[in-house]
Amino acid sequence: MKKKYYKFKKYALFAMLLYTAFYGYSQTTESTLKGKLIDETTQAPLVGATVYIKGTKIAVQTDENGAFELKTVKEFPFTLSVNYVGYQNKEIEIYEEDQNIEFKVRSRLALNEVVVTAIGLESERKSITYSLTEIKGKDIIQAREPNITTALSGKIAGVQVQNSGGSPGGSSDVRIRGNTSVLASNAPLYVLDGVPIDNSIQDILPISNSLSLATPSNRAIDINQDDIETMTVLKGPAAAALYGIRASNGAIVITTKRGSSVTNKKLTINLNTSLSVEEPNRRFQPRQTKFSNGINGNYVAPGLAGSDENWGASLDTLTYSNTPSSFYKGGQIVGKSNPNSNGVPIESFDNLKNFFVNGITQNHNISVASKVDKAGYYLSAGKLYQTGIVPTTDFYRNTFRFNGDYDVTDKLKVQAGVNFINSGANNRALMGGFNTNVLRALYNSPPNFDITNGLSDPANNPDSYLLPPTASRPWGDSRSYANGIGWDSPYWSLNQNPQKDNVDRWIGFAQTDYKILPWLTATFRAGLDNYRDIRKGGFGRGTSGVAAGVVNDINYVRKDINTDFILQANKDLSPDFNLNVIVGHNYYDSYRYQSNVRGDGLVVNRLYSVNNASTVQAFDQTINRRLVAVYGNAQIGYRKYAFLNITGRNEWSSTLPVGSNSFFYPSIGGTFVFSEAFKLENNWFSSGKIRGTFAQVGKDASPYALETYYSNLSSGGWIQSSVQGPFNGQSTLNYGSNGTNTLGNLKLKPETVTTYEIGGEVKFFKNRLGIDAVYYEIHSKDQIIPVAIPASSGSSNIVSNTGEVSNKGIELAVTATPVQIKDFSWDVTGIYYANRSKVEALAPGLNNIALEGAFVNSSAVVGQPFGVLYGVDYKRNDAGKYLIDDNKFLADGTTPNSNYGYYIVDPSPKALADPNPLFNASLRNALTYKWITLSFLLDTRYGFAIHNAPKLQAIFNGVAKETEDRGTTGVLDGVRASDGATNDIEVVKSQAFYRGTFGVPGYAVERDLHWLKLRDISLTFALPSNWLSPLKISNASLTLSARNIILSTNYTGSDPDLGTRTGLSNGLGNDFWTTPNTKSYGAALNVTF
Amino acid sequence: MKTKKINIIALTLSTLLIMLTGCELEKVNINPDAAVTAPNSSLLTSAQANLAFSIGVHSILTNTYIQHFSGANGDAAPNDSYKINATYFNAVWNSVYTNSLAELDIIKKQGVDQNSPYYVGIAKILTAYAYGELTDQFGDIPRSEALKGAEIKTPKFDTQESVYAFINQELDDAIVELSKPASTFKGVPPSSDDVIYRGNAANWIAAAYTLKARYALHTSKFNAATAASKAIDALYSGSTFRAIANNANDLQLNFGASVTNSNPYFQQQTFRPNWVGLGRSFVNLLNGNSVTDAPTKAETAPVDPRRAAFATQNPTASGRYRGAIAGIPGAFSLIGPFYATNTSPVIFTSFVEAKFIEAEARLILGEQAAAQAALTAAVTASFNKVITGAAAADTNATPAKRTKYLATKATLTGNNFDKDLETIITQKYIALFTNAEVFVDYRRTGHPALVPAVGGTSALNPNGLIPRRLPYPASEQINNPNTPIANYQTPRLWWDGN
Repeated sequence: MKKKYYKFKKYALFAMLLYTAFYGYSQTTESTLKGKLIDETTQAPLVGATVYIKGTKIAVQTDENGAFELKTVKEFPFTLSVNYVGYQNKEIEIYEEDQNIEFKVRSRLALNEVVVTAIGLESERKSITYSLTEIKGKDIIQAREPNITTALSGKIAGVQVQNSGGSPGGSSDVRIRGNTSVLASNAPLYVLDGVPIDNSIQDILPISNSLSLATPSNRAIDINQDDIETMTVLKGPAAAALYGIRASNGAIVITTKRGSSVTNKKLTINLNTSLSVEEPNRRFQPRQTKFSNGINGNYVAPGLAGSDENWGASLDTLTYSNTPSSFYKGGQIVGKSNPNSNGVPIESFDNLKNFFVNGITQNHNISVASKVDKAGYYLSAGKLYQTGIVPTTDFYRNTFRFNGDYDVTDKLKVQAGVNFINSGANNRALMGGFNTNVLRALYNSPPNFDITNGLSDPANNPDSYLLPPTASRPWGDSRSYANGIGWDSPYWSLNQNPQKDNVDRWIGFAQTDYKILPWLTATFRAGLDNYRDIRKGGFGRGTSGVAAGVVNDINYVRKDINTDFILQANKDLSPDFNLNVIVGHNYYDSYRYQSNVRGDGLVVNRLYSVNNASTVQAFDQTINRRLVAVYGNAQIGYRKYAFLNITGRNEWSSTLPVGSNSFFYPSIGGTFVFSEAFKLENNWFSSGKIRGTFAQVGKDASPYALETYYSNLSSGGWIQSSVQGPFNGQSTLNYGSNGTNTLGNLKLKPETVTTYEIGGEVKFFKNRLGIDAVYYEIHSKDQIIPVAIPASSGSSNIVSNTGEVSNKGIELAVTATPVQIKDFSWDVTGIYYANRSKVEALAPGLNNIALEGAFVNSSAVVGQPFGVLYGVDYKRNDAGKYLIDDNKFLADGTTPNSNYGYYIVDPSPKALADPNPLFNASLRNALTYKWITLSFLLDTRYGFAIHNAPKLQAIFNGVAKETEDRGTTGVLDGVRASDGATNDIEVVKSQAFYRGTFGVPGYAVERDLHWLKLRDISLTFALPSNWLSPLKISNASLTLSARNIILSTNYTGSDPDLGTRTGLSNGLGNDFWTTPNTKSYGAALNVTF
Repeated sequence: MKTKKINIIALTLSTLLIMLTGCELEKVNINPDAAVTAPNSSLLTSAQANLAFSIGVHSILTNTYIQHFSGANGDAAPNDSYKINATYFNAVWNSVYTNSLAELDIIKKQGVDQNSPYYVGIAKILTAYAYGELTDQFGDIPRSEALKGAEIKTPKFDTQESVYAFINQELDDAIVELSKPASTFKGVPPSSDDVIYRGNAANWIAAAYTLKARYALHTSKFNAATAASKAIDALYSGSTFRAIANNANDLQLNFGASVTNSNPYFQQQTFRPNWVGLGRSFVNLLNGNSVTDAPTKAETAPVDPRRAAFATQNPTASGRYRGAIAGIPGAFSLIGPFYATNTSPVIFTSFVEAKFIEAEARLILGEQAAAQAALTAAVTASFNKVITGAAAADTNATPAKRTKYLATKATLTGNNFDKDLETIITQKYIALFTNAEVFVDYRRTGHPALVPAVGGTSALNPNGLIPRRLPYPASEQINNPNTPIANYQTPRLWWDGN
């Protein structure tokens, strides 16, 4: 019947067109467009909404049946838009045949929204019993971050992102509701189209760890944002009970675009291109500019002992001389009174300013989508190329994706997708604590030394860093202020020590859904994530600390296979009761293998091949893990306002001993939509629900933790040196696994993480104001930890079940549409979250486990927040003020006290400060006027501590700005130890005093920090369709954006929104020579045909 | 319809069962790249290489205290004035226990099971040596309950006296094991896997006697004559010298050319250039000056013939050598080619040391002529050992200069005990460069008369003097509640008396 009607309409239209053609375009032709606006989920008509033709002033309101009738003279095709409070803006294109349309829109805030939840199933939002946040693909793109993990910053309550600085391709790490595990990973599971994928950060194995310290990527960086339809963050184990162990820290569920969801046309082509320019977003650590390199107040020429320090002479006492120097264009540096002096005062150089360059990020994407009948496909290609603010560094990513879906019959549906990614870097900057660290080398270069050597492109001109060959150094010497005994020139490191990596990755899935009965569906899904990561790190001859040159070849392969078999039944048991049951089986197998070769002693310099090495060592490692599970989920709904959700999962893990390797964990949750139950909806109160969940999840051990294995000798000295087997051609075996002297434990049992969560959502003013609040507690116990035992027992660690960590927190999200008029809308989203963690217990007799650190450790300390900064500090009073030694004499009463007037060292290490923030908050504003949208995100973190390790070293080496007052007399800030009175003892701020602070790393811990940043701001022009339709373009937009352009903080270092080099450990709050974060300005163009 | 449903359910369940049973979870968890058993040969190489490396690294700390070395930069700087962070001892303490003693313990057990007495004997000598190094620096240490891993996680600390008794017993037992004729046992004897002596049992026995003499003399503060007699008894069987009898048989490990097999001093200077150099006291002696002279003082003839082997010039190619004053960072010579080449040895004990032990013991026993003979032999052996390669071309190393040096610096008065002891110990201080044994000698005899570091006073070292012992490593303090709590650097050890 209906079909016929359409047909009739079509003929009528055809007739009309003929009519139009006959009489020509000079005559205006009016057409009438009839349609109905309905809620996509509930199918209910929407009353009083504005429907308008995009780019025109033609608009009409829907009537009490949701119907509208629009008269227009506009040519087809055109774009029809809808604007309705509480609903997402939606546009559809109107062709000739679409004259009576059902215009479906999705609720923006309402509880009726459909969301993707665990194992790829869709649920009605109101039935969800736990915390879940969905982000649209376009919001991910808006962040203009190549790394989807970084793009989550400031967007979700309870989700804290730590990045590793502004290196292209640098890793980024997410914590959802804090850290639950002391030593195991606390990262959430990434799920792509229902298939878990790898997001590990792979560092290099011990064979080369001491040298290769480039910042690696986290593998979620391989996902192209433009392919993402939605990203759902499931917080905590409650949300992820159905994904099992790997989701015990939450899950990030990504759904990519399908042909049938992107378009309803035969062919839609989307082109998207963006370009942005990056620069450091904040100054570096402030450094002194008054003194030369040297020691004890004397300038020291390159290569001599002391030249690697910045305790030299005041610059204005130095001149050039007539003796030529390959380090100084003006000649060797001498004192003014030196007979060799030519009287020319030395120049001062701003090396920090001269070093950084503009980074450029280009991102190009093309996608083709189609929907024909029951089949749809989506095909895309993306190319990202990024150059860094550190010259010569870069990152690239080329992605291809094909997704197809086909409804074979009414009962059988198949879909599959395949994604190929090629990503990597041609050069990454070396980080870490060694002499090859590019940024340390830069920062330590004194003002009297010009790292650029006066060249315009020093990074690519060997004359800036390489000295002519000599008999003893035929490969050429390092042109740096310390000439090989301290840090090399940063340009040397970038050119002579290239760090490359290249990943080829395939991610694929295939899924079949079969409707066995109207209420029973069977689904089988299989997924594969397979990649190889080939890295090469070279160190040229003459590199400081690597005199003979080194090459590291790393071959890493990972293959994860995941299958799910799911039966889903959904039946109304009675008019009031609905039952939805899922039963599933999951199989997961992960295989990792790396084979690394290190060659020492390069025969031909800068030929970075193991063939070219004098000695070669090899290392390999296999890590295999398998999990099998059966799981179930039952949801009982009563009258669509009360829901009870019960899940259970039994897991079999390969990593636990037979007998303990099978474990079960449950969850139970309830939701009550009180607004529907009591019919409370009115003009100002729209909806409300409360929910609560209790959930548990078990965790298994690392592979091979049961037995004690022998391993090749690997023993470290106290400064970087080590001895490793084989030794002089003889094999070596050492008792204890992986060179860590760890004893296995055949009695391990699973860890347990338990969560309680209670929350509620209320909406007001026709959903224009929504508040979502959650309180949660997470307790993790029986953690599987390699517990340190005294070395005198013959081993360093034994893997044990021990320890308990708790996290408690609140999350608050407010969404509002303060203004919504015909041409203008203003949307606001604010989030606030605070987490309090506590290490409740470790092993008996063990109160402290160091997680990560240099000088000051981020540690798990019983009774303290997770990751507390722990180390040696000066003595302080209860108010945090330093105590000043006011004893003029030593205990004998006659010997003068050399420490009189200075701080007093407290030699026993203590918990110093909490690196966890008191809270995080952010505010997104989006203002739309006609076809222009302005959006910006303010993001803040408040009340945390950082150990500023660069500052500690900079003070020691005389580089820090604060050492500029060296030699002057002053009074240290503090109180007298004996009576607590304000200190008034004058002392000399000598080299010895400043160097002494190095032994007291707590001195560089900064407390009560905060930052506030404008994380992103963008202005989007969605071009009016009447401009575009003559060009056969359905959509076009231009976006101007900027990232991180405003930063306000009280931190004395660079950007405090910094993680660690790799994000590999669970440590927090250590600033340790990472690349500064960047700010960027860019433009993006998006065109859809 | 109903049958169909049942069929589907049956099919599903059977599929699940098949998937479950086919997974062989236990097999997945077997590490394909590591073994759970190890042959004695690989354990022995591992224990030896680690022990030599660890004591080499460790001596950078101890011998900074007695001013062989000087720390100038980074983590090495605080060592210079005894403000050492207790975590720096973790590496050495931990690796001696876990990477050498634990393996030696397994070798001893497997050696008995396999009837391989030479492995047992060698393991016992190295065990005795390792405990000796630990106790001479830390005092009381875990021994009787140590190395029991899973059973005893927090071993008690044994007194230094009982550790000394164990060391002697272990050395005696080792000599018995190594004296068994090779034809009588089943196990394959050690050969190239013994990277010290290549399985030569006679050399090991000589080394055991040398160590017995060393530990006997360490107790000289209790009763010098008894200690000296015991030392002589260890060195001699009647009139036959049975300790290490020539430089070629020294108990030492030569490191390798590959970076991860190279000498710890070489690695120190390569990876952290200029962090550690030489101390004023040592370089002054090489320069022919007194330990208390200014480091810039011009050299005084006779200059030590070994100077170019032990030290590098500072400034480069200047012909001059200087050390840094403890506690004040400054320009210094670096460790010279004999010890700081990648293939340089770390010396456990030596012919040179045996002769110095004899010289001191003879002096104590009043045998002046024998003392002088032993001293001359010791210094001459030291010359012969270290003056090689480019250092042999040094103008101070000619035979005539060596003779002059011996006459001026290594000649005893024959009637002034204190002066002669000072001469012997000072010469030993030079000859045993890098060896922590000189830290023991300093504490026993007070020679050479070192000037404590500038700014050496700290909470852990309140009197500012040269420490008498090392703090227990932070890791042991944290993980073993039996660790004695004390003011770590000033209390004297058992044999150090008052």
